[in-house]
Amino acid sequence: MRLRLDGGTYRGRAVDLRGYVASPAAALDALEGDSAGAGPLATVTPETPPLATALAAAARSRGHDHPADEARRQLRSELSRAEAAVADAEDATAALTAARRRAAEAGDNVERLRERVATLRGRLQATRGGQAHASDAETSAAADADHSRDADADADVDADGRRRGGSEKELESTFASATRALTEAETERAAAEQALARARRRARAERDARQRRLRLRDALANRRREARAALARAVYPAFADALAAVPGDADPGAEPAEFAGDPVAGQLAAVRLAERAEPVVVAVDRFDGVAEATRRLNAPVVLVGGGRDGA
Amino acid sequence: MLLIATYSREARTTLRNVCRSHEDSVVRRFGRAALLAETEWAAFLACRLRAKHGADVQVERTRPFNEFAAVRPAVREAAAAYEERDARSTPYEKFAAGAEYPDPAAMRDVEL
Repeated sequence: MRLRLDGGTYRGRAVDLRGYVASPAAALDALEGDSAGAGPLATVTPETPPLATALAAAARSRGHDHPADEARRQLRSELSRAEAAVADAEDATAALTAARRRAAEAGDNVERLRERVATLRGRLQATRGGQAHASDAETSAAADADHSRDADADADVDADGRRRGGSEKELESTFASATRALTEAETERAAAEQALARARRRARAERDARQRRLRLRDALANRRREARAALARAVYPAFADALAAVPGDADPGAEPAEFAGDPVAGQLAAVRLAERAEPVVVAVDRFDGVAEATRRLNAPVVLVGGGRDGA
Repeated sequence: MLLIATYSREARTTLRNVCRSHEDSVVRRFGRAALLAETEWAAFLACRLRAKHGADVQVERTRPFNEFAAVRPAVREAAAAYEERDARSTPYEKFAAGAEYPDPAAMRDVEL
């Protein structure tokens, strides 16, 4: 392996960076080579990946294949088509949100104008009634109170017949324009409802694509899990042997689900089991030195820990 | 009630977490969907899901189905009679044809 760090270059199967580099990520970054630092077997840290994941990677490195691999390739290509379909339909959501907002505003508008028309109608009737019974002070006062709430028809209604006649005309024209506005609002509401229905239909098609994508992702994840489990089972006897050759207290049992004990020991055994050329970065204090780690793990090793970068 | 359906693993996970943290607002949970109570709080949760996951979240407002209010008696009676039919293999089209039961094509065109 080759490792570049702070201008220096390290070579060989065993590199000890303890007291110098603490973080596995820093060591992985410093490693040269395309495949270095990838996969569940690239590091050993106190936070281990799931055992089946590490075992499946070890099995693959030993040339094990899984019959579901072809099905997974198929699923992956279907998934990429589904993902493309989702990407093509991307703006349906924004359009649907806009359509919902427009429909809600149009509905509010109609409600507001309906109330206004009703109020104006009542006021108009009261004004006409007030004209017929000019002496009825109560009606006149009620009409006054209504008027003062509305700036459009804020005219004084009193015993002056002509003034009252002018006010009634104003009120009539206000009423007429409110009625027109209501008609327009109702037209807009109908249009907004239709637009919303169209947007919903488009969104449904988009959701079909998203649902398909989700199903394929789930199916792929299930196949992966099945493959991992099968691969882990396939190498489990060899793993049990490897476990006996690494430090740590663990009992493998007869199958992966029965593994009990130190998960770091499991991870170390999976690394030992694997046939990888890439170095493994070890950030646990389980070996006397890097030479012993290299021998026990049967792989190139970079030891890290307790360095100046913390940890 | 508010029906929330999710269309991605991330949205499904968020919905699951929301349901777990706000059990009192959850009426029923399904795999990647849930029915929430019709409260402002549940609406707030739905809006959050929508804000976080956009098109991967669908929110619909549902209401209870009352077959005695929403549907004419002939439809209910046809359903009951069909489920009591003698030959399990008889399709409804055929079942309705000979009797006074509503025509399936006609029912498809009638909105509730």
